[in-house]
Amino acid sequence: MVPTDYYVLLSAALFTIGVLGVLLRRNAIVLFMSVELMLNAANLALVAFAYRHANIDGQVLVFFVISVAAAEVAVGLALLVTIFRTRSTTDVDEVSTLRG
Amino acid sequence: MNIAFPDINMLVILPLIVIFGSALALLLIDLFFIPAGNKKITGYLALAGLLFTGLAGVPLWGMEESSFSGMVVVDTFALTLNVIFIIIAAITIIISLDYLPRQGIEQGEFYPLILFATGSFVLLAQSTNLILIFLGIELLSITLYVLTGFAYPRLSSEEAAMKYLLLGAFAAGFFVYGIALIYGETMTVDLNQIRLYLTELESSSTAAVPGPTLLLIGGALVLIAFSFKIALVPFHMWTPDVYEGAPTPVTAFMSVGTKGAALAALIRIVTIALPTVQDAWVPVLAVLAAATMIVGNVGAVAQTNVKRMLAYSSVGHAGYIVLGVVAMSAHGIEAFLFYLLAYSLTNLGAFAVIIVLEQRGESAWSLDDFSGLGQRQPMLAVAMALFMLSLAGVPPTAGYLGKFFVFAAAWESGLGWLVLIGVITSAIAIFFYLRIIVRMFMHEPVRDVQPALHRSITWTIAVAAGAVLLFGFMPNLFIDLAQRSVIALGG
Repeated sequence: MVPTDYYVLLSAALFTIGVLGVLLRRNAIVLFMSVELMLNAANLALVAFAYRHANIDGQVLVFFVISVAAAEVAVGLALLVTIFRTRSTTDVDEVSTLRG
Repeated sequence: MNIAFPDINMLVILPLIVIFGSALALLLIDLFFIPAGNKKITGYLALAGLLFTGLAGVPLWGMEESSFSGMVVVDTFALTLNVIFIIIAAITIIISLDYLPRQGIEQGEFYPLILFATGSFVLLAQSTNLILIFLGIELLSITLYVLTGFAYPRLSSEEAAMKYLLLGAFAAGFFVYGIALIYGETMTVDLNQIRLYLTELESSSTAAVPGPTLLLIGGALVLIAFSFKIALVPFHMWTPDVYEGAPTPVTAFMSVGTKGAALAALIRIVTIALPTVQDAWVPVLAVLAAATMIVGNVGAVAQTNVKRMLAYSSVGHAGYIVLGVVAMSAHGIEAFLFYLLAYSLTNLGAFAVIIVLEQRGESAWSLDDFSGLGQRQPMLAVAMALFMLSLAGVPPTAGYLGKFFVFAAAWESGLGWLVLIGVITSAIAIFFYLRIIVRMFMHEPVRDVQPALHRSITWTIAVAAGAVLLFGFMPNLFIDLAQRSVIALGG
């Protein structure tokens, strides 16, 4: 039986990897993947806590997070396609006409 | 088998039902019945939807009830905010009616999206549960990502939407992880029960029992997420770019609505759930507010693009509004509500003037385009001057009283240093707001800008200017309402 603390530590590690991914990578698709990693790390923590406390609220939130993440990625990829059509790049550093 | 349903009172979510219902209906009506090229009708229908939402609030007035197992609450605080949000949405729709076809970006979905975003504002004002607050924040964000990119295929709009989405999703990650940690500590996502947990912990607190560490870390993550949404320094980097790239009515809408709704949810969280751990978060929020006031106002000084300048100024104003929250007093909440109303009317009015000057294919956002406006369009220039004075906080405008109230509230709560920073930054702000007025009245026109004055937008500007003056002279019209909201919050 794996103690729930291990799951929480794993989720913290995954969350950190996700944050670092967003901060360090420059490709928009990889950025989306990193954000997904952050959200799923939170899901893992929620499920672990819900299991430990034998409480259902955390699992309910997980379903909402999954659906929200799907909606967010749908909008994000649609935007990415439109940007790719105009600029032929997915590198976020190359898409920067707004400055100041 | 017996399944016990909790008591639900549909009346509590009546405004939500009406606004989301009309948004969904409008999507279908727009798709099947409104001919392309005549999407203004959708706009008028959206205004009708907002009107019904406002009317739905009337029978709830004075009610104080929570339902759906304590997830949603209706009280005067929420209803007052609803009125402000409906005004914001209505002005946004009216100023978009002519702007969208002029820019060649008229799509019927614009108006339902505004309704969805407004619905999420209402949801945020009414919810007392972290799951609902998360849903509200995300619904608001996702609709705004789409609205920001609405001027597709203009690259600046796409780019703004992309930046907004990446940073917004990043903030959402922090928010969910913060909720997960709070939940891990307290076993609940209900704000009232979090407070119960904390008071219990406090009363049983001995050296052997550690403090609510997980909850504080989670709270910090949630605060980061909110700082992104409200654009508090240092989480404001996206603001100038996004506000400049987005279609102007959308910029106006999110510069006031998002801040108001996110702060309303933040107020619920800190006043309901976290009053016992005040020492942990009040100083943090105070420092964020101070940094926001300084960076926002100093950043605006260097701008020659008026739209971008207003973006920086809205960052600065976020700092002033937060003063009302960190005061943690009845006066603070009153000041927050009044400041939100005054700032919304002023900022929407200022953006409406920019929209009037904005032509298809070229943007009249440069300071030069305002030169000599006082000769060519005296009334428009006077209205713009009034909005600038109100943003700068010069009497007798509503903006002045708003600033006065938040400063007074912060002073009473012993945050003198914060008030000092606020006053100094306001003085800096006067410089760049006055610069526009000087350009309008004391310079010769540099190039010819034909204002697109339609009747609806002229009236909007006139009404906004009138309201700014009215609340400047007679704040009691609104203060009374704000005071009752505070009683409802138990402040």
